[in-house]
Amino acid sequence: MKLKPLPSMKERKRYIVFRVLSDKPEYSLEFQAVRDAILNSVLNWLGEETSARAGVWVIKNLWDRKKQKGFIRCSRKETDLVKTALAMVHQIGDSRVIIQSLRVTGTIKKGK
Amino acid sequence: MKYYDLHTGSGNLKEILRLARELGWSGLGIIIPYDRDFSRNLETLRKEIKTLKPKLDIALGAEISGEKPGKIRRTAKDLRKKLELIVVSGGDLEANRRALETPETDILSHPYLDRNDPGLDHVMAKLAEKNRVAIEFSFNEILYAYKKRRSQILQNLLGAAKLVKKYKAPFTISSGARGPWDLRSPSELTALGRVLGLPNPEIKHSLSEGILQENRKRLGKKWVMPGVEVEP
Repeated sequence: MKLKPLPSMKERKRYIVFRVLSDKPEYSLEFQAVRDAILNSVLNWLGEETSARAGVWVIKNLWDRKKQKGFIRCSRKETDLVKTALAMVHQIGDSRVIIQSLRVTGTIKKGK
Repeated sequence: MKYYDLHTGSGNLKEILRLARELGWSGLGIIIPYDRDFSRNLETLRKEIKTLKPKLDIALGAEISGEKPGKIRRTAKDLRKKLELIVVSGGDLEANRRALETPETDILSHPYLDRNDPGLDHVMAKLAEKNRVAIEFSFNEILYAYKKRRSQILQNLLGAAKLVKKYKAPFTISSGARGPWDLRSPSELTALGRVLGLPNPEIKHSLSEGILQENRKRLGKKWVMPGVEVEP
């Protein structure tokens, strides 16, 4: 059974639409590598306590491998910290990368 | 809105210009170190920019570093007539203070370099406000530092931000990129500014061409002195 919180107790969230620019555009990056890099960076930058509050979630089925574009769900209050953490990622595997946040939206539909 | 990154290096210029455009920058300040080969490097850079024909607004500048603090003023005055941006590399308290006392300086870069404090105090923050010298918050330093070192740099940045906010001193947030892959988009640098607790309208202003507009006027023939211009 799925636990459902009261509507008034629901966490307010935001979706950060991001894309990955890489120095090796011929090799597209896998979701898992991108997710690990983002979560590591968030953990390093925010620490364990704040990253728990931020509730960062990289959404798997919205990862566009062709466009190297994806969605991150996080708490509304920690959006700026998460965006800074994204900017801290400079390498995935042996590729130099820039993770650029394109926009912040309240719904997935608006981000597409 | 037009966004300007006022401190980037000149390594792999073609790629820097391509990426900067892709990331949403309208203009770049390309800063080269002021050393023995400065004149030659400046000429080479000017030629390179001419051949690349970038679609970005490019401003050239020099970074004064390693000079004796007493010489900073003279060097800045000499360079003022040639360049759009003059950056002084900080770190040493005496150098920080001299840079902030010199109205010809545009940006004081990393005043907290190799220090355990922000490299600024209330007197220097007031000087920065009076002489309109912007304090630079560079992203590149936290990008390549880890754990304890990164936390120390962030602590210094927060200290500097507190002073800048209290004394309404001008500031600029830049990527401080040495190569193309150190660049970051305006949105990320704005987020960094907010994380540091800087006021929102000023963050936007710090990423605009505010500093350049005044300096370009200075390089024009109409400009006589601050507040005085000759009508044609």
